[in-house]
Amino acid sequence: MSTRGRFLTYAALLVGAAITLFPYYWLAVMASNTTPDIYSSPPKLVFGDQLFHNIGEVFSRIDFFGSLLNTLVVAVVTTVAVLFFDSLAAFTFAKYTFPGSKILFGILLATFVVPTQLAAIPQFSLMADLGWVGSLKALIVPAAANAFGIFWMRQYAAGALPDELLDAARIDGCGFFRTYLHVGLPVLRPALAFLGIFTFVNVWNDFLWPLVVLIDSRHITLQLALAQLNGLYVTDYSVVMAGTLVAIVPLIIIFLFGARHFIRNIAAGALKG
Amino acid sequence: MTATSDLDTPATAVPRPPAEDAARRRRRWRHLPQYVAVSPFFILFAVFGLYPVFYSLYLSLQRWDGVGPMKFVGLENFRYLLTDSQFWDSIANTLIIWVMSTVPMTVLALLIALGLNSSVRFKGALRVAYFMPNVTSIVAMSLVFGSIFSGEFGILNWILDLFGLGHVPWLTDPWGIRCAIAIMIIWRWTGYNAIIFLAGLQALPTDVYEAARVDGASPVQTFFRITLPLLRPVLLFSLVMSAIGGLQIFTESQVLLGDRGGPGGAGLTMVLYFYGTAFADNDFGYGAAIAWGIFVVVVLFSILNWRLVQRPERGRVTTKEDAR
Amino acid sequence: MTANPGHLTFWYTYNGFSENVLKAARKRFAADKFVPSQVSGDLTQRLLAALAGGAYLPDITMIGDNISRYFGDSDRFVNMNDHGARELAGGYLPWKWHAGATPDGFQLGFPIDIGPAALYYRHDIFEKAGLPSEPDDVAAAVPTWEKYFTFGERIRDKLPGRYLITDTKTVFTYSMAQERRKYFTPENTYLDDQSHVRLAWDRAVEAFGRRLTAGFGGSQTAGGQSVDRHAAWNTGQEVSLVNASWITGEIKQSAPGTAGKWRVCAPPGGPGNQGGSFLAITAACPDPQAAFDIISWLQNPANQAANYAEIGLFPSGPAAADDERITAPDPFFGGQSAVRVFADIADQVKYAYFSPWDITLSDTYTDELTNVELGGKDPERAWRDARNRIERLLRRQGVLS
Repeated sequence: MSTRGRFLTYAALLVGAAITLFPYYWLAVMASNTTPDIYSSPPKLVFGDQLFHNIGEVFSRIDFFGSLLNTLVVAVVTTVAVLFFDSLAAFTFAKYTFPGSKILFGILLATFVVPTQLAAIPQFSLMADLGWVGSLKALIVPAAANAFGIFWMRQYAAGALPDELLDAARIDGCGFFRTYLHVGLPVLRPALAFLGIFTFVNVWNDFLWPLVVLIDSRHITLQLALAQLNGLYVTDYSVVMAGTLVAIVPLIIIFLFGARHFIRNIAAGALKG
Repeated sequence: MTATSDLDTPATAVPRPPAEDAARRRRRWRHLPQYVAVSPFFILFAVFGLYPVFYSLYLSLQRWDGVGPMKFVGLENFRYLLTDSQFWDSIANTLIIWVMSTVPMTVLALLIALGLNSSVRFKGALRVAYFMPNVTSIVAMSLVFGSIFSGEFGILNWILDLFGLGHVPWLTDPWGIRCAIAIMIIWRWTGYNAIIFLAGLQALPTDVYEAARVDGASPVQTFFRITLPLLRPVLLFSLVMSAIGGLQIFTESQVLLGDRGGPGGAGLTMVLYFYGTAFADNDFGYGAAIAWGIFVVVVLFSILNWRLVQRPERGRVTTKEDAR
Repeated sequence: MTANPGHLTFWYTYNGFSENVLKAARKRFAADKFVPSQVSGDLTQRLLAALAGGAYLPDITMIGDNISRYFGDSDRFVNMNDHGARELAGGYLPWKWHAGATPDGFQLGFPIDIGPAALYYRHDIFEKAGLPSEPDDVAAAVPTWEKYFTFGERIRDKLPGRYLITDTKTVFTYSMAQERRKYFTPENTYLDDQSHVRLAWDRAVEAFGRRLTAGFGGSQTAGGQSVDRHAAWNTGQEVSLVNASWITGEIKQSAPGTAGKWRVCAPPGGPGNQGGSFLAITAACPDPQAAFDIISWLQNPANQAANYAEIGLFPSGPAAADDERITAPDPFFGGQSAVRVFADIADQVKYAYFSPWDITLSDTYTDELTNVELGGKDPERAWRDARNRIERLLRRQGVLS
């Protein structure tokens, strides 16, 4: 490519990245100014000095750390459960045939079109019968295994796991679960990374079901706390923005730590799928 | 896509045994670990998915406010649904917003992927920047976009004013609303798709390009004749993913515009209409009927999607042959 | 099952109750293990979810002005007349007390606050424009909606870019708030004659037609508040609004820079009430008498006055509205005693039945008005669409046959 072409490409990419990152910048600007500053015209385009004051207000108005802890518990436990159950089922479907296995996998595919998220009304009644309403269990247990993860990982496993490897394990006297642990899991690691991030991010950002099933303000997730902050404290817009800022920071930090690894695996996962 | 054929050819084929009861029973037991291994999903799905779905079918035949007694109304809710202009509008809104977001998103993502694929510096940092929106909470960013789009003090209108382009009533005009929601979806998903397209580009065989270069093909020709056809599976993956997400647009509308989708109901998507009817108006019976209406739409859309995916699969093979 | 067995759990919304009063109540009713719990999100949705699920119910809960929503399920609540409510009725505004009772006299709700509607206006801007600016003069200048609109045209001519009226929705909502009949009879029979609704509708359309509305109706958050409107208060673009008393807190908090510049006076069109809430005891409560004792203490005149002083909830008991702690000159209103203005209006309000469908119906009309105002829809078509939608909805819900 010519130097000029390369320069233009580079410039366009930088402009695109700047536009992509602008909402974050704007969020930080609003979170660090006062509410009247936000409403002023022309708008204040630079950071103010109110950030810590506004964040202090957030912490005094909502139970930020409580909801953060709840979100972490739900996200971590769900992700671990999904990775275990999905990879185990995917490994099995990819590499074993047993009576009914094809039918079961067909059923699994069929569940894609079952609109479970639309059955929120009876799901709520069910949670009430189980005594789980308002409890984090209501978020974790139903999400502990999912069809998408199994299907997607099965596709990956079928391509990535050579039969010879399994045969070798069998000859070595490995049982089914040991084969899964020592042969299946290591090979599936890139797929697990993708599914793990995918699940973690989705659970972290989930909104509709927690909104329906969590009642008690002591047991709400970060997203609900954020919506609550917005609905109730909108009169103090800079505080809402400060709350928004602190709510997205944890996930962004986690993301930045493993970003390169994450992104590579997401791409790999998509191609294999 | 490479592994699809494995569905039909089991890797460790079990030979069919002679019909002997004891042996068969033993064989059954032998497969117990496999049944256990796949069971968690099916158990969870039966309890938390299937049962509620059937129960919602029952609910859709009732009039119920969630508290008092239910009243059986037969197909009344469905009869109403078919002539409910709000429901049809919500389908139209969902599809409009899906098209308005998917088309620009795909083009932008492809351009970004091509840019990143040419050797530029800071590729890693750029990828992180483009991908970041995808891991950011929709609730949080809907609030931020709400203030960006605000008609009165929004930064976007201020910028438009600077260039003398005038005020756009983003959150009060029907098309402004759809634009705003589409922009939020584009913002969220462009980077994700660019990363996937980039991986697709990097996986393309270099010898094809060598051949094209020798044949004297222009970069534009190369792109349309070789790159695009070879990227087809990746593009389709992205299309399927965006369709799955696009039919469920909810949070952006709800946080930005409230339970009724804003002025003219322009932001009223299917899932928002369901949510508003069931959980804001407490019309649980009709809410369940809407849910089934949405189900039908999703099924129709899935069939359409599946057909799309099936056909080019064949086309891809021939293109590959042609290219060689 | 209640949310927290062994305790008396009380659900309230943010800004729904004075935190100081609750702190005192916690101490005072320590023996009953009284636990106030601020509910996240929409309290009505949470309560209905808990009632539907039959789990996680509070012992005591706040209920909004749509209390009739629960009249059909009164068996899920406690009749406060069984615990001494009748003796206390005289201490509260009769129309408000009445609104908390089912047609057969089951006292489901105990009054908290009311929402007498007044005209809020920017004294400084009126004065600068050479218009009447003292409360009595303004009230005298705009006794009717018609006069108010004429007044608005003078504002528009003298102060371009400023608005007297928030949106068509305000005109419609507060016109309806002044009516003695709304949409249903107390027996939940739909009022066939909706000429008063049509009157409110025409008035709203007229305000728009005369270019008097700012059109902020569209941009609302889930909490029902408009950020654009907050911006307009800060910049002085919205120079007056007809609204219930509970908006005071929102103005104070979102536009602190305008303190001292506002005044209130009697609104155009006469006295009306919009909003206000109740306390109720659920049937899940194991000790309703203890719950009732807590409620009656929470709503004694001193605590109602504290509720107003702290978060602007206007007392439903006239004795509280006479408390000098809150009748004193209010610096936010330039030293005016806003409470006196609201109390005068509240005294003249008459009982009007608020049906379980009122919110939905009102929303349907105001959504269509917003379409007229912001989407350029033909008013006649919008009216027909609203009427059709309402009739279809009521038919589906079995209200109309």
